[in-house]
Amino acid sequence: MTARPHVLYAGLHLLDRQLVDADGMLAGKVDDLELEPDGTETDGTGPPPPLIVRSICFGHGALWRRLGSGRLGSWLEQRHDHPRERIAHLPLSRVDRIGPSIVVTARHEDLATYDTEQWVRDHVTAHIKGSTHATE
Amino acid sequence: MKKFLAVTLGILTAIGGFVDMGDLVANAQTGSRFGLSLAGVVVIGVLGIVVFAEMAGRVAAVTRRAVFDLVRERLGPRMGLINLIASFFINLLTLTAEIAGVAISVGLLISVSYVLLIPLAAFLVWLVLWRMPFEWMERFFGLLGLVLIVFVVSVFKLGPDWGDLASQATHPAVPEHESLATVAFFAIALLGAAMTPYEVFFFSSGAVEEHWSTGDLNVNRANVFIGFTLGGVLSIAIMACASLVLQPADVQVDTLPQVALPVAVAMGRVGLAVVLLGIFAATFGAALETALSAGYSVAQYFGWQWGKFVKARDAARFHVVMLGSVVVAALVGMTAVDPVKVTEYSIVLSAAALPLTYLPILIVANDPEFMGDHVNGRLANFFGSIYLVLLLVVSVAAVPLIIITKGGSG
Amino acid sequence: MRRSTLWSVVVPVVFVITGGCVTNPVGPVTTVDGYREKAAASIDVALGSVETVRLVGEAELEDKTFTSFTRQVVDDALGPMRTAEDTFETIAPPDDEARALQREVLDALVLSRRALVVMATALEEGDPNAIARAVAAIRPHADALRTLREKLGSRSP
Repeated sequence: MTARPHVLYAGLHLLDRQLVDADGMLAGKVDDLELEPDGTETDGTGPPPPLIVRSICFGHGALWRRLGSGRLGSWLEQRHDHPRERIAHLPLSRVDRIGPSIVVTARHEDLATYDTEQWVRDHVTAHIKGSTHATE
Repeated sequence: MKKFLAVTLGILTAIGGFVDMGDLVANAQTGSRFGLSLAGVVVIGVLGIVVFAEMAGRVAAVTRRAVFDLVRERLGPRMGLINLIASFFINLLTLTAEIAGVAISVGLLISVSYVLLIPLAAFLVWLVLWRMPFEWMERFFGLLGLVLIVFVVSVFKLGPDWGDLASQATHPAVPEHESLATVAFFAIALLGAAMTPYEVFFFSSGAVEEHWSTGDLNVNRANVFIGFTLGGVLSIAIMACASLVLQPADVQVDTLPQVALPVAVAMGRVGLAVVLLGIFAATFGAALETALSAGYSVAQYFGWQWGKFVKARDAARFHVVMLGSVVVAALVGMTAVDPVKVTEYSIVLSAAALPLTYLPILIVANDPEFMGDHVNGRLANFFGSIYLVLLLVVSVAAVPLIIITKGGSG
Repeated sequence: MRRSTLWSVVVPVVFVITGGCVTNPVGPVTTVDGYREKAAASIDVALGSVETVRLVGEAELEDKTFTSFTRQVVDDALGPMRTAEDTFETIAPPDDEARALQREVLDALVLSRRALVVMATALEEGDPNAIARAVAAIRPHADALRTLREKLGSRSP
C-alpha cells in the first residue's frame, strides 16, 4: 500500500471488503455504506452535491437490505438497535487502513457481525469438547 | 535436504489426494463403456485444474486470502450469493457421495452393510475436522491414498496390448451402439470429476491455513504441476482397468465394488485389500475437503472468522457449518439413495458450475492491486481464457445432456 | 437479482434434475421396433449383472477375492436384474410378434436371475463345489443373453 494519496472508489475499494480488527481477527465484510452530501453549497438549481462516505455498515441486516430484501434487512437491523447490542456502523475515522482488507480500530467482538458467532459459540460449540484448542 | 523432503511430501500428498468418489466412478464407467477413448478428456481436465490451482495457490500465497473470500469482492454480493448457493448445494451432493464411499469401502472390508456404517463414517469425518491439525490431516490421507497406485500396477499385471490401448486413447471413437449425446455426457462428467470446484476452494484456503507466502510459490507450482499430473495418471489407470476387464464383458459400472473388481482380477486378495484401503483414504480425504470447502465458502462470503488455524471457539460458525453439512450428508446417505447416481449428479453439476468457480480466480489473479508483481503472465492467461470458454460451453451443455441421456443411462 | 428471478432459475433446474431421474421404462410402446428397444435395454442390464457375477465368481474360485466382497457384488447385481425383469414384464407387447419376443426375453431374464440366486446361495453356504457349479452354470446364460441381444440389434440410444 503506497503512501501517496490517490482517489478511492468507494464501491470498488470499500464495499464487500473484508473487515479486520485491531488484533487481526476477521470481523465480517463491509456490507453497505452510509453516504451523505459533502457539504458544498448549492443553490438548488445545479447538480446535487457529490456524496461522500460517512460510515461503513455491516451485519446481516445491512447485507440483506442491500441485496434487495428490505423487510428481512430491516428486521435484522432492528435487532441491533438495542443499546446493549453491538455496533453496525463505523465512521471512517475508525478505519485504520484501507487495502485488500479494511482494518478498523475496534474489537471484533464489538461489531454486529459477531452476534451470530456468539450465539453459535454459546449454544453449540461450547457443548462440544475441545473447542478451546486450536488444531494447529 | 529438508526442503527436498518437504517438496516431495507435498507432491506425494497431491497425488494421493487427487482421486475421489467422482474420479473413481467417472473413470470406471467411462472405461467400461468407451475403453480409453475418453482418456484425452482426463488430460484436458487435469491440465485445467493444474492451471487454475496454480493461480488459486498463487493468489492465496500473495494476498493471504482464499478464493471464495475474493468472489464477493470482485463479483459483487448478488453474484457471490448465487455462486455460494450453487457451490454449497453441489458440495453437499459431493459430500454425501464421499461419505457413502467411505462407508462402502469399510463395509466391504468388514462385511457390513454400508448404510449402517454411514453414521460412523460421518462421525469420524467430523471428529477429524474438529480435532486433527490441518497439515497432519492432509498428509495422512494424501499419503495413504497413494496406495491407489495399485490401479497402475493392475494395468501392467493384466498384460494389455499396449498398442491397442494407445490407439484407443489417441483415436477416440464412438462405439456404434452409443449416441454422441452419451459420449458428451461422460466427457462432461470426466471433466467435472477432474476439475471439481471444491478442490480449488480447499486448495486456496489450505494455502492460507498453512500460512503460505510468496516464498512458497515454487513449492506450490511443484505440488500442482507434478502432483496433480501424476494424480491424473491414477485416474487414467482406473479407466484402463475398467476397459480391460469390464468392457469386454459388457459390464457397465453402477456400483463402487465394480470399480475395484478389475484389481481383484489382476492382483488377487492383496490387491483387493489395498485398493479398498486406497478408496477409503481417498473418499475420507475428499469428505474432509468437501466439508471444509462448505465451511470456507460460507464463512468467506460473510466475512466470518474461519480456519482450523484458530481455536474452534473463535470460528464457531465455521465449524457449525461443517458439522451441519456432514449431518445432512449422512442423513441423505442413510436414505439408501444410490451413491453412484449421487456421484454422477455431483460431478455433472460441478461441471456446470465450473465457470462460477474459475472466473473469479482468473479475475483476481490478473488484478495488480492484489497481486503486485505476481499477476498472471501471458501463459497463465492464455490457458485460463481458453479454459473459461470451454467451461462455459460445458456449463451450457451439461443440464440438457442430463435430460437427453436420462442421467447417462441412455 | 430479484427473488423472483432467482426462483425462475431454481425451479426449472430442480424440475430438470428430477426429470432426469425419471427414465420411464414402462412407457407405452406401440411399435415392434420400440418394443425391441425396451427388450434390448433389459437384456443389457441383465447381461451386465450376469457378467459381473461371472467375473467375481471366477475370481472367488481362484481365491482372488474375499467372500464378503463377492457376496456384496452378487447382491448388488441381483437388484438391477430383478428391476429389469419386473419392468419389462409390465410393458404390454403391441402385437403377436412382440408377444413372442416377450416370452423369449422373459425366459432368458428369469433363468439368468435364477442362476444368480443359486450363486448367492452357494456363497452363503460357503461350499466351494457349489460355488464352482454355480459359476459354471452362469456362463451359458451370459452367452444366451448375448445371442439374444445380437438378434435384437443395436443397444438403445
